[in-house]
Amino acid sequence: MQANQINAILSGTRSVLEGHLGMQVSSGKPTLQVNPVFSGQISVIVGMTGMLKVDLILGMTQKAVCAIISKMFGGMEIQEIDDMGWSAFSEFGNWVGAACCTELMNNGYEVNITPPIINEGESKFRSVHKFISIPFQVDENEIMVHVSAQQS
Amino acid sequence: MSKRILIVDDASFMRMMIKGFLTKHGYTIADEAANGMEAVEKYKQTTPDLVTMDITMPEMDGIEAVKAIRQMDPNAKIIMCSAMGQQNMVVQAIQAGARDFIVKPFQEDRVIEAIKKVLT
Repeated sequence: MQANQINAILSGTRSVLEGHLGMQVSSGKPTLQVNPVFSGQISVIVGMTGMLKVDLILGMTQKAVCAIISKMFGGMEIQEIDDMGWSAFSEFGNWVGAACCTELMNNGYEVNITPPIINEGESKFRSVHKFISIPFQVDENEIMVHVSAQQS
Repeated sequence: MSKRILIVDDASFMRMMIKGFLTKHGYTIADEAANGMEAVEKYKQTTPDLVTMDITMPEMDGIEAVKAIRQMDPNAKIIMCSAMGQQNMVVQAIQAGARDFIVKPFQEDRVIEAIKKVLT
């Protein structure tokens, strides 16, 4: 994993949260994650393939997911997540993946996204690849951004 | 009579959003499709005035669907609405026969402006 790859992915993720959803984002200190990676209550997993193989996991609480969905619905209050809410959250994953692809392309890596997967319920991810984990403070919620990138 | 539009996106949320924009501006929804194969079928059934087409979809992606629809109807008017806005993707879509390309997330007026331009 190289710094410019990680930075591109963080920049893409941030651009969706700040630029499109209007949320305030501040990032914390990155750490190298030793297995397992904790999912949070809900996580969205975005894959990218091409010159790089990237796994991006955004783990958060249900409250954080509701806050994101609320923004996507133009500020409507969201207490529970129904099918349309899950569709919106999956689309959020799609936007993040695409924004990261654009940033990686700008850094010379041609990549494409795979459809996002949502993991509901706390679990542990185990992988042969190492992840870098960065906490994002997003308005009053925290989102853990876990990134793994390998040259293809 | 208002123009009829076929909305194609695998995300029900996106279909709902686009439907909202279109009906607010007086367009009729011809139908909806959740993947490229359904899009080709629904195009045959409804012969809409215009199609909004996502790219990353299961079964058949949007670029392949554009090619298939244009083979059936060379005059088909299709606007891509996709999160994947890289240059090579835009080029592929235009070469397949799309009339315009809007990158998600998009604003309502950008969508309506693109539709008005293609339908005149």
